[in-house]
Amino acid sequence: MVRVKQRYLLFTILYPSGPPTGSTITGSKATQSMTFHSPSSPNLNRASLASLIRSSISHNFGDWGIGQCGGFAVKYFSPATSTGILRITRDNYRTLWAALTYINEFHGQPAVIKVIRVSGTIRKAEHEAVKVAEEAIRRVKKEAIGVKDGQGVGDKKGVAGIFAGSRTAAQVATVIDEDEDDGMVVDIVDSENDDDDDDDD
Amino acid sequence: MFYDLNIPWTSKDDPELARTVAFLEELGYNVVALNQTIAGKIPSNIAGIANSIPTKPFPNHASIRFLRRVTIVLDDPSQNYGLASLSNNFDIVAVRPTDEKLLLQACTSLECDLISIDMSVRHPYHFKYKVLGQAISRGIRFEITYSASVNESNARRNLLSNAAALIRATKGKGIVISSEARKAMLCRAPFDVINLATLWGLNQEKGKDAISNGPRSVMIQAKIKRQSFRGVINVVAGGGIPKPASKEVAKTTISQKALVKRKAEAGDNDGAAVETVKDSPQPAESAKLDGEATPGQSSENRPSKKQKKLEMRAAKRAAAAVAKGLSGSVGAE
Repeated sequence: MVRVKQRYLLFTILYPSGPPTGSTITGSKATQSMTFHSPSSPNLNRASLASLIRSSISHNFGDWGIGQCGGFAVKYFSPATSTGILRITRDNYRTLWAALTYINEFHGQPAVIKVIRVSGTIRKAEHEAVKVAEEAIRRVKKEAIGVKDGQGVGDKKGVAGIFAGSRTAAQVATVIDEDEDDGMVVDIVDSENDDDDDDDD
Repeated sequence: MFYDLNIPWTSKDDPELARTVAFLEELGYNVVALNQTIAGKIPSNIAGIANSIPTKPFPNHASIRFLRRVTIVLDDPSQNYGLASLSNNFDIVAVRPTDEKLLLQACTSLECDLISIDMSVRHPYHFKYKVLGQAISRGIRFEITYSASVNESNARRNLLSNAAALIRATKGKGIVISSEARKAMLCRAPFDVINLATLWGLNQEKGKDAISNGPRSVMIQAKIKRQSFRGVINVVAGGGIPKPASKEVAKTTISQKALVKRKAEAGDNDGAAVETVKDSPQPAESAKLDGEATPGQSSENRPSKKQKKLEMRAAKRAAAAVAKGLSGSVGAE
């Protein structure tokens, strides 16, 4: 009996028009990368995400699509980082991926799903997730320093100015210094290890 | 390097455009062309329209290179669009034919860099390779814009059928995919776009070409058309004190490279006719072109060197064999 080959899609949800309403972490709309990589709303969990993806598949690919790739599973989703991992049989991953690409909102909030990595094992997908999260934090810190240096200078803030509105650069910098992001990384690593255990069973 | 050759330009202070550009940077695009669409007759103050896009429109996005692009909507086959005059003001000149006749005209005769067919509506004609192939052989590429299909179901259906037809007719060659996104939420990451292209019938490799190498060649070709003599010869080194000996060498290598690149056009001007083109906007850019010139040139030189080496080796071997044969025969005696 040949083993069923799977693909694991590591994806992240980007919010092109700022953080969604009801997201847990507020005040983190400081830098450009943070505005787009916002935490998702707490209503978005593995089950609701799966049903949203399923409806996108059925809208774009009909009954045939659901039949082919309705068997996907959301192996992991973290609303804090808006990152998740999907599992799908290898033959159908492109259909599922296209369905993800055609999603443009979650609960009325504009959202774009970007697939970061397609992998044959969940382990590699997890490694990539950790790497991406670390990279994101490094970038945010770098941008935060940039904001600090250019206190009150509009162009250093980048697109943050659009979202931050009246907030001044100095205020923004203090918000970033609270270091809540580091907690986020630990959170990913922990929950992913849990997930790994599940998978090994 | 990923390219998005179609972002509609509104104004410098438009927050949605700023957000779109920031989002494109976030998604991993490196070059963005800001597009102005002109319908009907080309106005006389075209330079003014072109200059409404500043040279550095978004200084806080340093990692993105911005190009200026114009799209002319063709709707009258008898009208003479002065497309040649546009290329002085814009980095890319695109046309959007509205019917089959105009498509034929654009493919065969119009001086443009890109043909952008509206993919979100149904066309009453088929795409034929005979027509499209002429454009491809002239180095003109076809653009597929995907953003309308993200938003609207009907546009999605039309895009799927049109893109599949276009890709079938062009055999997957000369395709460029861009967004034409008026909102940030209509942009997609490069690899997501490549995956969409696999749905239309391009494979992964050609899909990637359609978003990286294809647009790059559009950009470079438009630049060469604009800056060089008949699109064949361009003097890339500018400034400094000329050294007579080295200049001679540079001339020959440039003409050699140009000859290889455009054999057809090179027929009427030999290596002697080197034209100096005097508009190099930035030294960095001309340096880049220079860098692009070197690989072609070195690959040209390489075979001759190799051949020489091979000949030398063969000669040595022959000499050794002769010597051996002699000694052998002596030994036998």
